[in-house]
Amino acid sequence: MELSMGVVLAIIGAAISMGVAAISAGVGVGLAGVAGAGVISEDPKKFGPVLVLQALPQTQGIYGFLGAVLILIGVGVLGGAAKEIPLTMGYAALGGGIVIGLSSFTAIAQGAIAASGMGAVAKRAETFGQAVVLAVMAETFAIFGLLIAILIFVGTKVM
Amino acid sequence: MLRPVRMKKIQILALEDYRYEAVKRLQELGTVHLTDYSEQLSDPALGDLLRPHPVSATIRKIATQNIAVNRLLDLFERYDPEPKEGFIKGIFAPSPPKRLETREMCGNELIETVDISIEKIERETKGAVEALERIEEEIGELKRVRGLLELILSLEVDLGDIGESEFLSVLLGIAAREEIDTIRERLEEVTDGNFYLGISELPGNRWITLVICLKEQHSLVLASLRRLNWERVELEGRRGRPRDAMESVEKRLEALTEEKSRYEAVIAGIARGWRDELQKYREFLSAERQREESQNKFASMEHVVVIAGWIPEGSFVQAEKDIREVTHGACVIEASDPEEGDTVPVLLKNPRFFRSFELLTRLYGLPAYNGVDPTLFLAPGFMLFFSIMLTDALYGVIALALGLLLIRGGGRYNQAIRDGGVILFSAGAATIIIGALSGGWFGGFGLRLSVLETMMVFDPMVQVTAFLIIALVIGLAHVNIGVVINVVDNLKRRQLWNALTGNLWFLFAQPGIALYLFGYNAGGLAFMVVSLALLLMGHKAMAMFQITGFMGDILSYARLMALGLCTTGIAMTVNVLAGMLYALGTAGVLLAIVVFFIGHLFNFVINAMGSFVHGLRLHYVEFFTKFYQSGGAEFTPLARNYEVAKIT
Repeated sequence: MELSMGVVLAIIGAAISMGVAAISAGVGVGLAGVAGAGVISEDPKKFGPVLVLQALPQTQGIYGFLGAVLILIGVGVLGGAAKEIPLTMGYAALGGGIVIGLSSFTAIAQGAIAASGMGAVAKRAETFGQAVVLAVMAETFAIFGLLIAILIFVGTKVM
Repeated sequence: MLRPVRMKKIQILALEDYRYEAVKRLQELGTVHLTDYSEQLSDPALGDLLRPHPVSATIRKIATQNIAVNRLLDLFERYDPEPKEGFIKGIFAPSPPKRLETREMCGNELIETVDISIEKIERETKGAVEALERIEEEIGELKRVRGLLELILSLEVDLGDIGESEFLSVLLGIAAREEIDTIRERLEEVTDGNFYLGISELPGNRWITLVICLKEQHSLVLASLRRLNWERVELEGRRGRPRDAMESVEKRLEALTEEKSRYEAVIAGIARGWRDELQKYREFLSAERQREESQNKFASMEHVVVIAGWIPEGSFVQAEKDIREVTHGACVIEASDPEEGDTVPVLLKNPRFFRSFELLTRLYGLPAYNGVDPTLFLAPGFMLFFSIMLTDALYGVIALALGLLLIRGGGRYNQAIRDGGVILFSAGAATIIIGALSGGWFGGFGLRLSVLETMMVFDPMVQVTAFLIIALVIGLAHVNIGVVINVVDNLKRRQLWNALTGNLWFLFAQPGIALYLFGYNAGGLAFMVVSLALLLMGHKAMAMFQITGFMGDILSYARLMALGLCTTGIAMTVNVLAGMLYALGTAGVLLAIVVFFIGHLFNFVINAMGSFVHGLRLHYVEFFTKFYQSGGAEFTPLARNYEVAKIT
């Protein structure tokens, strides 16, 4: 398959989208996991809430994955319709990938919030729902990032 | 079902003489959640009419007996431990729990019987327990001496010579090689040369030192030696060479160990005879204690006891009948509806299958009494999301099998394990269906069987965009259901304003957009205007955040597609790897099989966990937040809790 420069740029965009998001989500989940280990060392019965709280920063990783897949389909690397990808479209796809990658940094903050949330749940089990809502607040901007990326893809006909 | 069980406030006035019987019957019924009357006693309207109920006379005695029984059972456990099952066996194939058929004991009969039993057991075990204590102490000391003797075993010194004699003080100690010279110097200083230092090497760079000095200088020498990393070996009262002393120590230890096991056998024998009785008494005492402690919540008048609590609507008739019977009619029983501001305890009630999913609702937090019980919605929603994210029929089979094992295993005796098993079983079943429809049988492996291929309606790896759209549409539907629940709930509670200004705007916005897209501009505009009006009325400055909030919520459901794709992708990779190994010949075939099974097992575990957690998360964050009110107080009725005793 002949790879035009446009496609290559788009692939780099996909790589940035997934790669950076993976780092952020990893750090976030890691922060939460560290706190979680502390909580279950005191009370193993709290594993359920701890597990759910730890999974929250994974969202940004999922968005990164989503963005990468959308780009790859859009430029024809992964199924999808084969079409001509000019250099400019490649740059646009790159831009979309960057916005998702950058906005995934919110996962790090979300991980910190989730970690503190676990502390709250350790003290008072009934605060679980509220702890979840607190953590999820941090996702708002990752969602905006994903939305802008989708708008870019749709607007430049990548998608 | 869709709400926590309806409760009624119950108030019982009965003759004090029948109090014990009445409380006992309430405990047997297990349907009344007692409230503390003392909170209401400060109401000035009652004046001097009601007083707090006096504290139980027997509660202290019962508490003491409880401690004694626990202490004895601990003693029994120490010398005749009950066999415990391994963790895995306990979950999948536990043996039936111990049940002892017995007549119930309560009140004075219980207290007296327990007293007599405790006294008897303590008398029988007293001798053995004291002897064992003595023996343990001696064994401890002997072991210490043995440890020291081991260090100086090679020394050919009469231990009797160590210590203080008429003019001399002989000290035995251990030091490192580097310190010896320093020690020699310091001793030279302190004793003006009047000392003897003998050294002998031990294994491990430690040297044994024999220090002889004048008796008068004993404390001086000891003090200086201590400051020099010198470890004293104290063996007071031993005679003969260390080797001989060691022999006699070993002999004595042997004798003591034998004596110890004899006494242990005595206690074990008593344990076997009394354990079952004591375990029963422990449970009876616990029930009695509950009855007696509940008196702190009652109020009393001259000869009347006043009991207040909450009772499920449906259980009132039976309770009234029973209390009336037990008090011989000398009672007044009333039921009333909960009032504004009452903290009503929450009891969930769902049909049998859904009951297992209450576990997941509880994880988030009990709903408020006037709130919605979302379990009925949670169950099918969770099954759907789990199956879409796991997307592989054979993984579904594994989950189903695991669930079945749990239900048939630990689930027979443990409700929590049973619930987990049901959830796993049903999620697995749903996954089999979705997996079959999307052609996932360990990735593409199973598609060699053409019958399975014909079942495939949709290939997630090829029709990715379609998959994404399906996920978002499911999300839209789910969020809409949440909004509808919220609106209906508010209407039922006659809170019209809340119903209108909550999230209703969203339900108007969608037909508005749809009509507009299809060209019905006028209709579309009408809906949009209504929607905007409701939005601004309810949320004013926060209106923008509501819109972005909903957009974010729906986008969040894209994870259904993402996780589904992941599972399929990794499964494909495992198949490709196994395929590559397979092509390498006979050794490759074996490796290929190993990689195939371990790979798919790994994929199953990782993605099952992910599907479970994210399926839950979608419910908690995107669904519950639309209508859920948490903060319910658990319904904890006065009830017996016999695990071992089985009343005949």
